[in-house]
Amino acid sequence: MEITTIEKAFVLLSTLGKQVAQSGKAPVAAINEIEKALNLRFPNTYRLFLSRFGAIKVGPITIYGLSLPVDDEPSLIWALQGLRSIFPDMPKNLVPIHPVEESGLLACLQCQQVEVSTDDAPVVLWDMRAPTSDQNFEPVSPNFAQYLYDRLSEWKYREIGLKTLEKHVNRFENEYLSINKLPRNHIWRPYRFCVQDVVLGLVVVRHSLANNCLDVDVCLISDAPEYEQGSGARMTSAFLLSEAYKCGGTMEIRFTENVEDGTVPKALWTFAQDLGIDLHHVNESRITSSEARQLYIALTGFSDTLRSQIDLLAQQEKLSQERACYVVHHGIWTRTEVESIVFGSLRPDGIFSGDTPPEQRHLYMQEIFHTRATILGGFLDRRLARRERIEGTLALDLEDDTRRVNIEFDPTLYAKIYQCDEELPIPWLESHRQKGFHIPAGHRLIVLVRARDANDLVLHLQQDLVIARKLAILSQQQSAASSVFILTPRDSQELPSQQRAQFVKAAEASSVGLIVCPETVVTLDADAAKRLASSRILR
Amino acid sequence: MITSYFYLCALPRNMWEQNVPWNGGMITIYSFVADALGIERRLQKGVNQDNERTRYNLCCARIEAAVASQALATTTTAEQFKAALDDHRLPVSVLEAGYLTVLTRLLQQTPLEASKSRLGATFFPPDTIVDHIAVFSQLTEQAGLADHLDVKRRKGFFELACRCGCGVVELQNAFQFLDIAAGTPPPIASVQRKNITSDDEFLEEEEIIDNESRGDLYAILGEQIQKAIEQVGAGHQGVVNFSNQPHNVITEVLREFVYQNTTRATKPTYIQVVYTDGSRGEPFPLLCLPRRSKNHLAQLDDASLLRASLMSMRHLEMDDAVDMAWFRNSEVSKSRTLAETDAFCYEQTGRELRETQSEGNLRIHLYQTGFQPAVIGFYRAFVEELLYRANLPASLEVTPYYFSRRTGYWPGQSWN
Repeated sequence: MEITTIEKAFVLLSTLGKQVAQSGKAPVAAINEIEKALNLRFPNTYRLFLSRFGAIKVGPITIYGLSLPVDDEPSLIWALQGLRSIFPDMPKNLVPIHPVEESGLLACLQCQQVEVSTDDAPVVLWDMRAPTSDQNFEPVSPNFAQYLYDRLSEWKYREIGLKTLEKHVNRFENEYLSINKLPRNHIWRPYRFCVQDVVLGLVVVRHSLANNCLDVDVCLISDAPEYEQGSGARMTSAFLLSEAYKCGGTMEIRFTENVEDGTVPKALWTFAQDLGIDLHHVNESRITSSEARQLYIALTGFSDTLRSQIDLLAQQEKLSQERACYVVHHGIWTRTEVESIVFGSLRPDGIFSGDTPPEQRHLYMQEIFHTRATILGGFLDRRLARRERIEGTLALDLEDDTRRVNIEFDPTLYAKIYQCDEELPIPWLESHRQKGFHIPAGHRLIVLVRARDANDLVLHLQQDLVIARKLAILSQQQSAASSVFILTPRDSQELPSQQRAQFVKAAEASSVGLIVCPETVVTLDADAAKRLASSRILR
Repeated sequence: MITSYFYLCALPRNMWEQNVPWNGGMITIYSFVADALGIERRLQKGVNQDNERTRYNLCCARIEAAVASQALATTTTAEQFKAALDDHRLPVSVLEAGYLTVLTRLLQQTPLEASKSRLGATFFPPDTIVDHIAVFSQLTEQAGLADHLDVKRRKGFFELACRCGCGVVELQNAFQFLDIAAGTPPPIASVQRKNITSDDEFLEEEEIIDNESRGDLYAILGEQIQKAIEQVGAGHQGVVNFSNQPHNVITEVLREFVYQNTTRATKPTYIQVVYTDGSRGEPFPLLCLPRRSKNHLAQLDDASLLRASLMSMRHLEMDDAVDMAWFRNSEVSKSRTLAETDAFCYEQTGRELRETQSEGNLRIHLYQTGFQPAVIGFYRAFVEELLYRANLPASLEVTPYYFSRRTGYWPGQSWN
């Protein structure tokens, strides 16, 4: 098996021809001698590599080995001498084989001592910038052959991908960008995904009219060490799946011969595997529509209960799974807002598609009412999650400085249940007595979301208070401590002051808090109509 | 549990043909019904759909609001139906959430027929009732839904309405709590209460809201503007967000800051206008206009009076009281940023006011509506026009009028 892989790597090297600079065959005696000097046993595949190539340089990849002069790159002796002088604590069984470009990481063989009978030597990445310890060695490949093959094929795929990309970009520039023309879905379109100056993904896609699927001609994914592992694959697969949905095909994704020799890119299928989705047609260079759907849902990160409910509604043909995912990736709804819509609304698909015309007013208004309530709940979600740091008189606004708030939705009460591992200040409290109220860490905050205008509040707030009071009494009897609140829009401030005061008094007497979001029903409805309109023109 | 309810309310024929006095108020739906039906026809042509649909929503909302604020009575028999009308209550029947499921299925299965028969609409004038019952019966029969309880109830109610020469308006409450265990009665009581609380009690309190509760809003906005002016004085940019401020508060507070205690115009202090959508309007000029004495203003007494609502189609009940609408709703309420809307209103107002320069003295009574960029755009242009005329005798004045449920329209402070 291992020999097969090393042979594949050697074939790959021979096909690269003049692009490979090799130092030349190393005599077996020289290999034995260096093993003896290091008191280590090289794996058989590395010995084969040394005896066939000595050491190589191909593109940006340098594989250390036996070469002359011995005191210069890519000599293994040169590398070892340098490293051991700089890092005297470097473990003696590490044999450096490949400096990973610009990362400060060094791929090393973890060799066995000479006296050990086995020649197993996994490849690890050593972070030379960090203090030496056992934790610094991240296993990256089970053996040298696999490592060599992976690096060479990665480079080859990247070269092919970049050349293909360049061709597409030039054509796209000439035929579309330069004349301000927008391409149709069935035209090859290049995309680049970056965070600041770091490229995480490059793709070229089109909708295949013949096969009603998404064709991918370039799919280059990078995993920048500055970002969470798998960020590139996450971003790229999210795009491909969203694009597959947007183009209106079957969700199937097919990769051309230009992508990793006509297979599904390794970064994609390993990422899918990490999410618990096995792709069964990797070598046929396609992700089937059902696999794509599963991957899209897993990638979107819905809770288990929400996933089950979406699956159930999909079986009943009441909801399209991919549409529920797409509205999240497109930024129209957050995951928790989707949960409110899926569990709370009678017609979630109508909200996600936004295609109910106002002439069908009952259906349209049903969607507006639930969209309004969802948006109101979303305001509170974000407000609760946002930390406010104040130093003296200075308010600090830090990026991504959010609390980890667990949010659930109870459709029977139309309530949101929040729980946080730190103290949670409650915003927008109506009662002056409750200002500055905090929910202790681990306690539950139950919020009845009531997106009612002033007239409806007059009619229903009393009943909402009764429900909240019952809930407050019930929660006191349960083990998990809870506080109960009612969330309304700012329209409650339009109520006659006497009536408002009565509501506040009744709420205080019932141990229930009133939270008044600064938004009014008018602005919520405007936002609701906007989101429905955005949903309608998504595809 | 939270669920949806639908209230079918019957309205006598005369309410569909004219404004009708009813329980001390007026039922004014007929013009909205005519507008909405016209829009439905135009929508089928597929032209200007976004604007038409926006107007359609407004019309339907007005029809529904007019009915929701009336005294209603649950009826199941023809006698009860007639008795309710005699008692000046609108007969009503309640449908549960199943009605929505029925509608969804019918619209999916027979979209063309359902659309033709106005299925899913919320108002049905008396002349359309017979046809509607026939098509509704036929479609529900075809879909195998004829025995559905809500279908039967709806058909029954429409037949009663037809016999009594009524039309039907349907209201929806999507967030009604139903306590199954306690067996809460149908929520119609809520609708009846709505009428009782909405008129008298609410009106009594309106003045308090205007004068007291909103007092702090004046103070808050005043403080923000004062700070912005101080920032400008210190060489920084003074920014004020005018979104979500009531239009009367904006108008009155800005007026406080526009004038200087001088007899001549001074160089304005400009504060930056921002809106909640993140857009930035042109700066607003403050502390620049001279205060005119009563004697100077006396010559405006004989000026022509123009009564204008700020925007058309916003408060149609204003139409009787005004000569024109300053802005056309269709031109202002377009998809653009609030700052762009502000700029549009500013430019149009500037153009209009410049045209009045050759037409003698003019007083405008401006019946305002609460769309902030329109208010800001209008008054920015107006201040600039007053600045242009500052060193001339008084020739232009605007008096804003605000709506109060208790007193009707009441004037704000004049700008001159």
